[in-house]
Amino acid sequence: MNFAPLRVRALPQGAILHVNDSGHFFASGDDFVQRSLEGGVEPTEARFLKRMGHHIESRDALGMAAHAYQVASRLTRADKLDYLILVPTLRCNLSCSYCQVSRAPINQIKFDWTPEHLTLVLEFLDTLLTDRIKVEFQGGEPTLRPDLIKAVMERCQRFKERQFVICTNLHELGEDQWRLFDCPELYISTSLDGDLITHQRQRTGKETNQFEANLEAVIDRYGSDKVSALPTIDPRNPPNIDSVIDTFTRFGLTSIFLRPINYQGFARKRHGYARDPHMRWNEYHQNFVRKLIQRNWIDRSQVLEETYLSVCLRRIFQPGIERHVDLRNPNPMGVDYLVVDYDGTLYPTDEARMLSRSGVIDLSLGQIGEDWRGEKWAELNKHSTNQFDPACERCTYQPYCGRDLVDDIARYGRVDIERTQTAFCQRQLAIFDFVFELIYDEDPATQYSLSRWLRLDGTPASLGQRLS
Amino acid sequence: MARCVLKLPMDSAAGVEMTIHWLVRFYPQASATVDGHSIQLQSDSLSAVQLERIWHAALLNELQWTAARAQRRDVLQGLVQ
Repeated sequence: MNFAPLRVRALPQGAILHVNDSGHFFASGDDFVQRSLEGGVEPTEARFLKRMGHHIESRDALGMAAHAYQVASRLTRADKLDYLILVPTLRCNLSCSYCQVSRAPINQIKFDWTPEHLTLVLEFLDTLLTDRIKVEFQGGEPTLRPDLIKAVMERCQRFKERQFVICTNLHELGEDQWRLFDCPELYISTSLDGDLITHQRQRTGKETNQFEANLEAVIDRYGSDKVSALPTIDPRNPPNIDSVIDTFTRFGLTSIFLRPINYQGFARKRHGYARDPHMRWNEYHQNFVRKLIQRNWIDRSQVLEETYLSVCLRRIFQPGIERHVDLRNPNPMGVDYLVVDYDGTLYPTDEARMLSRSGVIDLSLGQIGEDWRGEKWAELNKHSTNQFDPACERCTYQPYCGRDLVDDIARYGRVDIERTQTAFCQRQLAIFDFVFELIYDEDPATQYSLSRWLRLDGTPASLGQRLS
Repeated sequence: MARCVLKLPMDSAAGVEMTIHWLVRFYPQASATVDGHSIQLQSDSLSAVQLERIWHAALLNELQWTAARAQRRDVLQGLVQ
Protein backbone atom coordinates (compact mmCIF):
# COMPACT_ATOMS: atom_id res chain seq x y z
CA MET A 1 0.00 0.00 0.00
CA ASN A 2 1.39 3.39 -0.96
CA PHE A 3 2.11 5.86 1.80
CA ALA A 4 1.19 9.56 1.71
CA PRO A 5 2.04 10.98 5.12
CA LEU A 6 0.50 14.40 4.53
CA ARG A 7 -1.68 16.62 6.69
CA VAL A 8 -3.72 19.47 5.25
CA ARG A 9 -4.79 22.85 6.60
CA ALA A 10 -6.59 25.81 5.09
CA LEU A 11 -4.55 28.88 5.99
CA PRO A 12 -6.36 32.07 6.95
CA GLN A 13 -5.07 33.92 3.89
CA GLY A 14 -6.39 31.41 1.36
CA ALA A 15 -3.65 28.93 0.54
CA ILE A 16 -3.95 25.27 1.44
CA LEU A 17 -0.94 24.01 3.36
CA HIS A 18 0.24 20.40 3.06
CA VAL A 19 2.81 19.18 5.59
CA ASN A 20 4.60 15.86 5.47
CA ASP A 21 5.29 13.99 8.77
CA SER A 22 8.93 14.92 8.29
CA GLY A 23 8.03 18.63 8.21
CA HIS A 24 8.50 19.22 4.47
CA PHE A 25 5.65 21.30 3.17
CA PHE A 26 4.08 22.98 0.16
CA ALA A 27 1.08 25.16 -0.55
CA SER A 28 -1.59 24.47 -3.12
CA GLY A 29 -4.75 25.99 -4.45
CA ASP A 30 -8.28 24.70 -3.96
CA ASP A 31 -8.23 22.85 -7.28
CA PHE A 32 -5.48 20.48 -6.15
CA VAL A 33 -7.47 19.66 -3.01
CA GLN A 34 -10.53 18.91 -5.15
CA ARG A 35 -8.54 16.65 -7.43
CA SER A 36 -7.03 14.87 -4.43
CA LEU A 37 -10.48 14.27 -2.96
CA GLU A 38 -11.64 12.87 -6.28
CA GLY A 39 -8.51 10.71 -6.59
CA GLY A 40 -7.43 12.24 -9.88
CA VAL A 41 -4.40 14.48 -9.46
CA GLU A 42 -2.58 15.56 -12.61
CA PRO A 43 0.48 13.51 -13.69
CA THR A 44 2.74 16.49 -12.99
CA GLU A 45 1.31 16.75 -9.49
CA ALA A 46 1.77 13.02 -8.88
CA ARG A 47 5.40 13.31 -10.00
CA PHE A 48 5.92 16.29 -7.69
CA LEU A 49 4.47 14.40 -4.70
CA LYS A 50 6.69 11.41 -5.40
CA ARG A 51 9.83 13.44 -6.03
CA MET A 52 9.43 15.42 -2.81
CA GLY A 53 8.81 12.35 -0.66
CA HIS A 54 5.14 13.14 -0.06
CA HIS A 55 4.06 9.98 -1.77
CA ILE A 56 6.08 6.81 -1.22
CA GLU A 57 5.40 3.59 -3.06
CA SER A 58 5.18 0.52 -0.87
CA ARG A 59 8.04 -1.24 -2.67
CA ASP A 60 10.31 1.77 -2.24
CA ALA A 61 12.36 0.64 0.77
CA LEU A 62 14.90 3.42 0.33
CA GLY A 63 12.12 6.02 0.20
CA MET A 64 10.62 4.66 3.43
CA ALA A 65 14.04 4.66 5.12
CA ALA A 66 14.67 8.25 4.01
CA HIS A 67 11.28 9.28 5.33
CA ALA A 68 11.90 7.57 8.68
CA TYR A 69 15.29 9.26 8.90
CA GLN A 70 13.77 12.68 8.33
CA VAL A 71 11.06 12.07 10.91
CA ALA A 72 13.73 10.96 13.39
CA SER A 73 15.78 14.09 12.72
CA ARG A 74 12.94 16.13 14.18
CA LEU A 75 12.73 14.20 17.44
CA THR A 76 14.47 15.45 20.56
CA ARG A 77 17.45 13.37 21.53
CA ALA A 78 17.72 14.14 25.22
CA ASP A 79 20.89 12.52 26.38
CA LYS A 80 23.07 13.38 29.34
CA LEU A 81 22.03 15.79 32.05
CA ASP A 82 23.86 18.98 31.10
CA TYR A 83 21.53 21.79 32.11
CA LEU A 84 20.73 22.74 35.67
CA ILE A 85 18.41 25.44 36.94
CA LEU A 86 19.57 26.32 40.41
CA VAL A 87 17.61 28.39 42.94
CA PRO A 88 20.06 29.39 45.67
CA THR A 89 17.45 31.61 47.30
CA LEU A 90 13.75 32.26 46.97
CA ARG A 91 14.06 35.68 48.59
CA CYS A 92 13.61 38.72 46.43
CA ASN A 93 14.01 42.47 46.81
CA LEU A 94 10.98 43.19 44.61
CA SER A 95 7.34 42.17 44.97
CA CYS A 96 5.83 41.97 41.47
CA SER A 97 2.14 41.03 41.43
CA TYR A 98 2.65 38.41 38.76
CA CYS A 99 5.75 36.81 40.24
CA GLN A 100 5.64 33.30 38.84
CA VAL A 101 7.31 31.61 41.79
CA SER A 102 5.70 33.32 44.76
CA ARG A 103 9.00 34.72 45.99
CA ALA A 104 9.80 35.11 49.70
CA PRO A 105 10.30 38.52 51.33
CA ILE A 106 13.86 39.84 51.43
CA ASN A 107 14.42 39.35 55.15
CA GLN A 108 12.73 36.00 55.50
CA ILE A 109 14.90 33.20 56.87
CA LYS A 110 15.04 29.57 55.70
CA PHE A 111 14.59 30.46 52.04
CA ASP A 112 18.25 30.04 51.05
CA TRP A 113 20.34 26.94 50.47
CA THR A 114 21.96 25.74 53.67
CA PRO A 115 25.66 24.81 53.63
CA GLU A 116 24.50 21.18 53.39
CA HIS A 117 22.45 21.95 50.30
CA LEU A 118 25.45 23.63 48.70
CA THR A 119 27.67 20.65 49.43
CA LEU A 120 25.13 18.29 47.89
CA VAL A 121 24.78 20.50 44.79
CA LEU A 122 28.55 20.59 44.32
CA GLU A 123 28.80 16.83 44.77
CA PHE A 124 25.97 16.42 42.27
CA LEU A 125 27.92 18.49 39.73
CA ASP A 126 30.84 16.11 40.20
CA THR A 127 28.69 13.16 39.14
CA LEU A 128 27.56 14.57 35.80
CA LEU A 129 28.84 12.64 32.79
CA THR A 130 29.03 15.51 30.36
CA ASP A 131 31.75 17.71 28.88
CA ARG A 132 29.55 20.76 28.70
CA ILE A 133 27.34 22.32 31.32
CA LYS A 134 24.79 25.08 31.38
CA VAL A 135 23.70 26.46 34.73
CA GLU A 136 20.89 28.94 35.06
CA PHE A 137 20.54 30.71 38.39
CA GLN A 138 16.93 31.51 39.18
CA GLY A 139 15.17 32.83 42.22
CA GLY A 140 13.90 34.76 44.03
CA GLU A 141 16.72 37.07 43.22
CA PRO A 142 19.82 34.87 42.95
CA THR A 143 22.29 37.74 43.20
CA LEU A 144 21.33 38.08 46.86
CA ARG A 145 23.62 35.07 47.35
CA PRO A 146 26.72 35.70 45.22
CA ASP A 147 28.71 33.38 47.48
CA LEU A 148 26.60 30.38 46.47
CA ILE A 149 26.75 31.28 42.79
CA LYS A 150 30.51 31.68 42.95
CA ALA A 151 30.94 28.28 44.59
CA VAL A 152 28.92 26.59 41.85
CA MET A 153 30.78 28.39 39.06
CA GLU A 154 34.13 27.38 40.53
CA ARG A 155 33.07 23.76 40.79
CA CYS A 156 32.05 23.79 37.12
CA GLN A 157 35.59 24.54 35.95
CA ARG A 158 36.19 20.84 35.26
CA PHE A 159 33.74 20.92 32.34
CA LYS A 160 35.26 21.69 28.95
CA GLU A 161 32.43 24.03 28.01
CA ARG A 162 30.55 26.13 30.53
CA GLN A 163 27.76 28.62 30.28
CA PHE A 164 26.11 30.41 33.18
CA VAL A 165 22.98 32.52 33.13
CA ILE A 166 21.86 34.69 36.01
CA CYS A 167 18.19 35.63 35.94
CA THR A 168 18.25 38.88 37.85
CA ASN A 169 16.10 41.94 38.31
CA LEU A 170 19.28 44.11 38.26
CA HIS A 171 17.85 46.00 41.19
CA GLU A 172 20.95 46.20 43.36
CA LEU A 173 24.46 45.67 42.11
CA GLY A 174 27.40 45.70 44.51
CA GLU A 175 31.02 44.63 44.16
CA ASP A 176 30.20 40.95 44.60
CA GLN A 177 27.63 41.02 41.80
CA TRP A 178 29.99 42.85 39.43
CA ARG A 179 32.72 40.29 40.14
CA LEU A 180 30.33 37.51 39.11
CA PHE A 181 29.24 39.36 36.01
CA ASP A 182 32.87 39.82 34.95
CA CYS A 183 33.09 36.11 34.13
CA PRO A 184 32.96 35.92 30.29
CA GLU A 185 31.04 32.64 30.48
CA LEU A 186 28.22 34.29 32.38
CA TYR A 187 25.19 35.84 30.72
CA ILE A 188 22.60 38.09 32.27
CA SER A 189 18.89 37.59 31.78
CA THR A 190 16.63 40.30 33.10
CA SER A 191 13.11 41.59 32.75
CA LEU A 192 12.16 44.72 30.88
CA ASP A 193 8.42 45.05 30.65
CA GLY A 194 8.25 46.95 27.42
CA ASP A 195 8.62 50.63 28.03
CA LEU A 196 9.94 51.94 31.33
CA ILE A 197 6.55 53.29 32.40
CA THR A 198 5.07 49.81 32.16
CA HIS A 199 8.12 48.36 33.87
CA GLN A 200 7.65 50.80 36.71
CA ARG A 201 3.95 50.02 37.01
CA GLN A 202 4.41 46.25 36.93
CA ARG A 203 7.67 45.80 38.79
CA THR A 204 10.00 48.35 40.22
CA GLY A 205 7.74 51.21 41.31
CA LYS A 206 9.63 54.30 42.35
CA GLU A 207 13.00 52.64 41.94
CA THR A 208 12.81 52.17 38.17
CA ASN A 209 15.59 54.68 37.64
CA GLN A 210 17.92 52.43 39.62
CA PHE A 211 17.09 49.47 37.37
CA GLU A 212 17.53 51.58 34.26
CA ALA A 213 20.91 52.85 35.45
CA ASN A 214 22.06 49.32 36.28
CA LEU A 215 20.95 47.96 32.91
CA GLU A 216 22.80 50.77 31.19
CA ALA A 217 25.90 50.16 33.30
CA VAL A 218 25.90 46.43 32.53
CA ILE A 219 25.55 47.04 28.79
CA ASP A 220 28.21 49.76 28.84
CA ARG A 221 30.62 47.44 30.56
CA TYR A 222 30.01 44.21 28.65
CA GLY A 223 28.02 45.04 25.52
CA SER A 224 24.49 43.97 24.71
CA ASP A 225 25.46 40.44 23.63
CA LYS A 226 25.88 39.47 27.27
CA VAL A 227 22.40 40.59 28.21
CA SER A 228 18.93 39.41 27.32
CA ALA A 229 15.84 41.17 28.54
CA LEU A 230 12.38 39.65 28.52
CA PRO A 231 9.18 41.64 28.67
CA THR A 232 6.14 40.26 30.45
CA ILE A 233 3.07 41.68 28.75
CA ASP A 234 -0.37 42.08 30.26
CA PRO A 235 -2.58 41.35 27.22
CA ARG A 236 -5.42 43.43 28.68
CA ASN A 237 -3.25 46.50 28.77
CA PRO A 238 -0.23 46.01 26.49
CA PRO A 239 2.32 48.76 26.03
CA ASN A 240 2.59 50.65 22.77
CA ILE A 241 4.53 48.54 20.28
CA ASP A 242 6.85 51.29 19.06
CA SER A 243 7.70 52.33 22.59
CA VAL A 244 8.65 48.74 23.48
CA ILE A 245 10.91 48.46 20.44
CA ASP A 246 12.40 51.91 21.08
CA THR A 247 13.15 51.02 24.69
CA PHE A 248 14.91 47.81 23.73
CA THR A 249 16.90 49.32 20.90
CA ARG A 250 17.96 52.22 23.10
CA PHE A 251 19.78 49.63 25.22
CA GLY A 252 21.16 47.92 22.12
CA LEU A 253 18.88 44.91 22.64
CA THR A 254 17.62 43.49 19.35
CA SER A 255 15.98 40.23 20.49
CA ILE A 256 12.66 40.73 22.21
CA PHE A 257 11.00 37.66 23.71
CA LEU A 258 7.39 38.74 24.17
CA ARG A 259 5.65 36.76 26.88
CA PRO A 260 2.12 37.06 28.18
CA ILE A 261 1.73 36.86 31.95
CA ASN A 262 2.43 33.25 32.90
CA TYR A 263 -0.37 31.47 34.78
CA GLN A 264 1.88 30.55 37.70
CA GLY A 265 2.69 31.67 41.23
CA PHE A 266 1.20 34.99 42.31
CA ALA A 267 -0.06 35.58 38.77
CA ARG A 268 -2.34 32.59 39.22
CA LYS A 269 -4.01 34.26 42.19
CA ARG A 270 -3.98 37.86 41.05
CA HIS A 271 -4.25 37.59 37.26
CA GLY A 272 -6.72 34.72 36.84
CA TYR A 273 -7.60 35.76 33.28
CA ALA A 274 -4.11 34.56 32.32
CA ARG A 275 -5.46 30.98 32.41
CA ASP A 276 -6.96 31.21 28.98
CA PRO A 277 -5.31 32.48 25.83
CA HIS A 278 -6.41 35.86 24.83
CA MET A 279 -7.28 36.74 21.25
CA ARG A 280 -5.86 40.14 22.04
CA TRP A 281 -2.51 38.53 22.76
CA ASN A 282 -2.33 36.93 19.31
CA GLU A 283 -3.31 40.21 17.72
CA TYR A 284 -0.71 42.13 19.72
CA HIS A 285 1.98 39.57 18.94
CA GLN A 286 1.25 39.61 15.21
CA ASN A 287 1.17 43.40 15.06
CA PHE A 288 4.45 43.45 16.95
CA VAL A 289 6.13 41.10 14.49
CA ARG A 290 4.80 43.06 11.52
CA LYS A 291 6.21 46.22 13.03
CA LEU A 292 9.62 44.54 13.39
CA ILE A 293 9.49 43.48 9.74
CA GLN A 294 8.73 47.03 8.72
CA ARG A 295 11.53 48.49 10.83
CA ASN A 296 14.06 45.88 9.68
CA TRP A 297 13.29 46.77 6.08
CA ILE A 298 13.60 50.50 6.61
CA ASP A 299 16.76 50.34 8.71
CA ARG A 300 18.98 47.42 7.70
CA SER A 301 21.79 48.35 10.04
CA GLN A 302 20.37 45.98 12.67
CA VAL A 303 18.01 43.04 12.78
CA LEU A 304 15.24 43.12 15.33
CA GLU A 305 13.49 39.88 16.17
CA GLU A 306 10.75 38.48 18.36
CA THR A 307 12.49 35.51 19.87
CA TYR A 308 9.61 33.06 20.09
CA LEU A 309 8.63 33.60 16.47
CA SER A 310 12.24 32.90 15.48
CA VAL A 311 12.16 29.71 17.56
CA CYS A 312 9.03 28.55 15.70
CA LEU A 313 10.57 29.47 12.37
CA ARG A 314 13.69 27.45 13.13
CA ARG A 315 11.54 24.53 14.24
CA ILE A 316 10.12 24.50 10.72
CA PHE A 317 13.28 24.97 8.68
CA GLN A 318 16.12 23.76 10.86
CA PRO A 319 15.20 20.53 12.61
CA GLY A 320 17.53 19.52 15.41
CA ILE A 321 18.93 23.02 15.91
CA GLU A 322 16.39 24.46 18.31
CA ARG A 323 16.31 23.02 21.87
CA HIS A 324 13.71 25.38 23.31
CA VAL A 325 12.21 23.18 26.03
CA ASP A 326 8.65 24.42 25.71
CA LEU A 327 8.61 23.49 22.06
CA ARG A 328 10.36 20.20 21.58
CA ASN A 329 9.08 16.71 21.00
CA PRO A 330 9.29 14.52 22.87
CA ASN A 331 9.84 16.77 25.86
CA PRO A 332 11.37 14.40 28.40
CA MET A 333 11.18 15.40 32.03
CA GLY A 334 14.21 15.20 34.31
CA VAL A 335 16.53 13.78 31.66
CA ASP A 336 18.77 16.48 30.19
CA TYR A 337 17.82 19.25 32.57
CA LEU A 338 16.74 19.51 36.19
CA VAL A 339 15.80 22.15 38.73
CA VAL A 340 17.21 22.35 42.26
CA ASP A 341 15.07 24.55 44.48
CA TYR A 342 16.13 26.69 47.46
CA ASP A 343 15.38 23.80 49.82
CA GLY A 344 17.17 21.14 47.79
CA THR A 345 14.00 19.80 46.21
CA LEU A 346 14.35 18.55 42.63
CA TYR A 347 11.82 19.43 39.94
CA PRO A 348 11.58 18.42 36.27
CA THR A 349 10.99 22.02 35.14
CA ASP A 350 10.90 25.52 36.55
CA GLU A 351 7.13 25.64 35.98
CA ALA A 352 6.78 22.43 38.01
CA ARG A 353 8.57 24.21 40.85
CA MET A 354 6.10 27.10 40.53
CA LEU A 355 3.12 24.74 40.68
CA SER A 356 4.38 23.10 43.84
CA ARG A 357 5.07 26.48 45.41
CA SER A 358 1.51 27.57 44.58
CA GLY A 359 0.14 24.46 46.27
CA VAL A 360 -1.48 23.21 43.07
CA ILE A 361 0.27 19.88 42.71
CA ASP A 362 3.51 18.42 44.00
CA LEU A 363 5.63 17.57 40.97
CA SER A 364 8.84 17.32 42.96
CA LEU A 365 11.03 14.38 42.06
CA GLY A 366 12.97 14.07 45.30
CA GLN A 367 15.81 15.79 47.07
CA ILE A 368 19.29 16.70 45.90
CA GLY A 369 21.54 13.73 46.60
CA GLU A 370 18.76 11.23 45.89
CA ASP A 371 17.91 9.41 42.65
CA TRP A 372 15.01 11.34 41.15
CA ARG A 373 14.09 8.82 38.46
CA GLY A 374 11.28 7.15 40.39
CA GLU A 375 7.63 6.43 39.79
CA LYS A 376 6.56 10.06 39.39
CA TRP A 377 9.36 10.72 36.91
CA ALA A 378 8.36 7.68 34.86
CA GLU A 379 4.69 8.65 34.93
CA LEU A 380 5.44 12.17 33.70
CA ASN A 381 7.60 10.85 30.90
CA LYS A 382 4.82 8.58 29.64
CA HIS A 383 3.02 11.74 28.55
CA SER A 384 5.93 13.72 27.21
CA THR A 385 5.29 13.28 23.48
CA ASN A 386 2.82 14.65 20.96
CA GLN A 387 3.11 11.51 18.83
CA PHE A 388 0.13 9.14 18.86
CA ASP A 389 -2.25 11.79 20.20
CA PRO A 390 -5.42 11.77 18.04
CA ALA A 391 -5.47 15.56 17.66
CA CYS A 392 -1.72 15.96 17.11
CA GLU A 393 -1.71 13.11 14.56
CA ARG A 394 -4.15 15.14 12.46
CA CYS A 395 -2.43 18.46 12.96
CA THR A 396 -0.32 19.96 10.19
CA TYR A 397 1.98 21.54 12.74
CA GLN A 398 2.77 18.42 14.77
CA PRO A 399 6.26 17.94 13.24
CA TYR A 400 7.25 21.43 14.46
CA CYS A 401 5.31 21.52 17.70
CA GLY A 402 6.10 20.40 21.23
CA ARG A 403 4.48 19.09 24.34
CA ASP A 404 4.08 21.10 27.51
CA LEU A 405 2.37 18.80 29.95
CA VAL A 406 3.26 20.93 32.97
CA ASP A 407 1.36 23.82 31.36
CA ASP A 408 -1.66 21.54 30.94
CA ILE A 409 -1.46 20.55 34.60
CA ALA A 410 -1.12 24.19 35.61
CA ARG A 411 -4.21 25.28 33.72
CA TYR A 412 -6.49 22.26 33.84
CA GLY A 413 -5.15 20.01 36.58
CA ARG A 414 -4.72 17.10 34.17
CA VAL A 415 -2.69 15.98 31.15
CA ASP A 416 -5.38 14.13 29.21
CA ILE A 417 -7.54 17.07 28.20
CA GLU A 418 -8.15 17.03 24.46
CA ARG A 419 -5.16 18.84 22.98
CA THR A 420 -7.11 21.23 20.77
CA GLN A 421 -8.85 22.55 23.88
CA THR A 422 -5.61 23.52 25.61
CA ALA A 423 -4.14 27.01 25.70
CA PHE A 424 -0.85 25.56 24.49
CA CYS A 425 -2.41 24.07 21.36
CA GLN A 426 -4.52 27.11 20.57
CA ARG A 427 -1.55 29.41 20.91
CA GLN A 428 0.64 27.18 18.73
CA LEU A 429 -2.04 26.84 16.06
CA ALA A 430 -2.33 30.63 15.92
CA ILE A 431 1.40 31.24 15.83
CA PHE A 432 2.15 28.58 13.20
CA ASP A 433 -0.73 29.87 11.07
CA PHE A 434 0.90 33.26 11.31
CA VAL A 435 4.39 31.95 10.53
CA PHE A 436 3.11 30.23 7.39
CA GLU A 437 1.24 33.36 6.42
CA LEU A 438 4.61 35.13 6.57
CA ILE A 439 6.40 32.35 4.71
CA TYR A 440 3.96 32.69 1.82
CA ASP A 441 3.89 36.49 1.98
CA GLU A 442 5.58 37.75 -1.20
CA ASP A 443 6.47 41.12 0.28
CA PRO A 444 10.30 41.41 0.05
CA ALA A 445 10.35 43.08 3.48
CA THR A 446 8.82 39.96 5.04
CA GLN A 447 11.17 37.60 3.21
CA TYR A 448 14.12 39.76 4.26
CA SER A 449 13.27 39.53 7.97
CA LEU A 450 12.45 35.81 7.85
CA SER A 451 15.81 35.11 6.21
CA ARG A 452 17.65 37.12 8.87
CA TRP A 453 15.76 35.34 11.67
CA LEU A 454 16.80 32.04 10.10
CA ARG A 455 20.40 33.35 10.07
CA LEU A 456 20.66 32.91 6.29
CA ASP A 457 23.34 34.80 4.42
CA GLY A 458 21.03 35.89 1.64
CA THR A 459 17.34 36.16 0.99
CA PRO A 460 15.94 33.31 -1.14
CA ALA A 461 13.37 34.15 -3.80
CA SER A 462 10.88 32.12 -1.83
CA LEU A 463 10.96 30.19 1.43
CA GLY A 464 7.82 28.21 0.74
CA GLN A 465 7.21 25.84 -2.14
CA ARG A 466 4.01 26.13 -4.15
CA LEU A 467 2.26 23.51 -6.22
CA SER A 468 0.40 25.46 -8.82
CA MET B 1 -22.86 35.61 9.65
CA ALA B 2 -21.54 33.64 6.66
CA ARG B 3 -23.13 30.36 5.77
CA CYS B 4 -22.14 27.63 3.36
CA VAL B 5 -24.15 24.52 2.50
CA LEU B 6 -22.30 21.65 0.86
CA LYS B 7 -23.40 18.29 -0.43
CA LEU B 8 -21.77 15.48 1.51
CA PRO B 9 -19.82 12.80 -0.34
CA MET B 10 -21.82 9.57 -0.29
CA ASP B 11 -18.94 7.14 -0.17
CA SER B 12 -17.09 8.28 2.97
CA ALA B 13 -19.64 8.45 5.77
CA ALA B 14 -17.17 7.65 8.54
CA GLY B 15 -14.73 10.21 7.25
CA VAL B 16 -17.43 12.86 7.23
CA GLU B 17 -18.36 12.29 10.85
CA MET B 18 -14.76 12.58 12.00
CA THR B 19 -14.13 15.53 9.70
CA ILE B 20 -16.90 17.44 11.43
CA HIS B 21 -15.59 16.37 14.82
CA TRP B 22 -12.11 17.76 14.09
CA LEU B 23 -13.06 20.68 11.89
CA VAL B 24 -14.69 22.63 14.71
CA ARG B 25 -11.65 21.97 16.89
CA PHE B 26 -8.99 22.98 14.40
CA TYR B 27 -11.06 25.86 13.06
CA PRO B 28 -12.91 27.11 16.15
CA GLN B 29 -14.36 30.08 14.22
CA ALA B 30 -16.60 27.63 12.33
CA SER B 31 -19.58 25.55 13.40
CA ALA B 32 -21.10 22.66 11.47
CA THR B 33 -24.44 20.84 11.35
CA VAL B 34 -25.45 17.90 9.18
CA ASP B 35 -28.84 17.78 7.56
CA GLY B 36 -29.47 14.63 5.57
CA HIS B 37 -26.94 14.51 2.77
CA SER B 38 -25.70 18.04 3.19
CA ILE B 39 -23.63 19.91 5.72
CA GLN B 40 -24.08 23.50 6.75
CA LEU B 41 -21.07 25.48 7.95
CA GLN B 42 -21.45 28.81 9.68
CA SER B 43 -19.11 31.47 10.96
CA ASP B 44 -19.20 35.00 12.25
CA SER B 45 -15.70 35.76 11.01
CA LEU B 46 -15.14 33.61 7.92
CA SER B 47 -16.65 34.04 4.47
CA ALA B 48 -18.62 31.34 2.66
CA VAL B 49 -15.64 30.79 0.35
CA GLN B 50 -13.34 30.32 3.32
CA LEU B 51 -15.77 27.88 4.93
CA GLU B 52 -15.91 25.81 1.79
CA ARG B 53 -12.13 25.77 1.58
CA ILE B 54 -11.87 24.72 5.22
CA TRP B 55 -14.35 21.91 4.68
CA HIS B 56 -12.45 20.45 1.76
CA ALA B 57 -9.10 20.77 3.52
CA ALA B 58 -10.48 19.16 6.67
CA LEU B 59 -12.08 16.33 4.69
CA LEU B 60 -8.88 15.63 2.77
CA ASN B 61 -6.91 15.76 6.02
CA GLU B 62 -9.19 13.18 7.60
CA LEU B 63 -9.15 10.85 4.61
CA GLN B 64 -5.36 11.04 4.36
CA TRP B 65 -5.05 10.45 8.09
CA THR B 66 -7.20 7.32 7.81
CA ALA B 67 -5.22 6.03 4.84
CA ALA B 68 -1.80 6.67 6.36
CA ARG B 69 -2.52 5.91 10.01
CA ALA B 70 -1.20 2.36 10.21
CA GLN B 71 1.98 3.03 8.23
CA ARG B 72 2.60 6.25 10.13
CA ARG B 73 2.49 4.37 13.41
CA ASP B 74 4.77 1.67 12.00
CA VAL B 75 7.35 4.32 11.14
CA LEU B 76 7.20 5.84 14.63
CA GLN B 77 7.23 2.50 16.42
CA GLY B 78 10.26 1.55 14.33
CA LEU B 79 12.06 4.65 15.52
CA VAL B 80 11.20 4.02 19.16
CA GLN B 81 12.66 0.51 18.96
